[in-house]
Amino acid sequence: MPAAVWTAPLRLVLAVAVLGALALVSTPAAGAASIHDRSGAFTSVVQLRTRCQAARIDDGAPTLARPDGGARVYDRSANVSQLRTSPFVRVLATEGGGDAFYRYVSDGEAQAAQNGGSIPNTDVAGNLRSVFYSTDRYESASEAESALQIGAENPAGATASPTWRLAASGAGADWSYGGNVDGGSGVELLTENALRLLGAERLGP
Amino acid sequence: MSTAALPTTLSLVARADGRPLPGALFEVELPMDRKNNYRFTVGPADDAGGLHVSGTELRGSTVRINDLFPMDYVGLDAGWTGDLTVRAVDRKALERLRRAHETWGATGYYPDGFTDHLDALERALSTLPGGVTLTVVVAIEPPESCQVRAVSSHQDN
Repeated sequence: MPAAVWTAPLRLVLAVAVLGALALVSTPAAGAASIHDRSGAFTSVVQLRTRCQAARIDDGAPTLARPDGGARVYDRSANVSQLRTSPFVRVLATEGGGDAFYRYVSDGEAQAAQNGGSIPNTDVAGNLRSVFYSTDRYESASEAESALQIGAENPAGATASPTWRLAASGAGADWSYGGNVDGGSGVELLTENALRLLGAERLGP
Repeated sequence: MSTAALPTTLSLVARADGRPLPGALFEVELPMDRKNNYRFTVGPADDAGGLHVSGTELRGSTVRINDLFPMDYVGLDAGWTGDLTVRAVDRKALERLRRAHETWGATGYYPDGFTDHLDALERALSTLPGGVTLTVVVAIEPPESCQVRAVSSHQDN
């Protein structure tokens, strides 16, 4: 029997052993494993899960919170493997930008936020309101309207266009994941917390 | 989505332990399937505690809320459940309205004299004895246009 034939199983066993050893060496301790997203940024699985849990995204059971706290599933893309390529993770994974969430608002809300230093979380009757944010930074009103289906692009009928973009810190907030915007390209998150205002910029048309 | 329609007329009468409550304000809620419910105030009531609100006014309030918060409301035609809830503004709701006005007053959302209406209602509520229940009698035209619910409140709240 040629040596190449009888050594083949041995080589296979050796290859498996080497790969296994490499895997043991390269498998990081819990909390240090990293994944990459489309932008090339990376974050650890544990960091990601922590952030997703903060957003009430449970990769084990892809049931997302409704804005009103109910159990309706908005979006089933909330498992970790799919989140790797979601815009949500893209932003969360971007170092330095991970805590910035954006809101496209009226003159009135921009003024109120700038006066108080935070983005108000009540409605016109003074009740708590779910405040919606986007993970994406749009440069113009029309871009935000198209992506988020708001203002002039609201499918239920055009409303006033947003005129300002507010950036807010999401640190410590209790988030719910609103899912992908129907008919648009954006992703929405919502919270009943009043977030600290990081900046306000007037939008171009 | 519901096939219900806003009433052409919403008629309200506020009572405090059965007696008319002049100057009453009413909180209207239009529950939504998506995003936030519309909640806003109408009034004040006349000397008999009565108020008529047109469907156009109700819709106008939702449109102004949409204009103020384009991201947070989808629009009445995109998910209204067909329910309409009304309650009289009690002390606690009145405090909320004052805070809301402090936050949103500069936006132009509230009608002229809104804080005067709040002051007048506060005076009226302060004259009521403790434990008084505020109730609302509601009628709509057309009668089957939507599901109406009147919620009683408590002036001590």
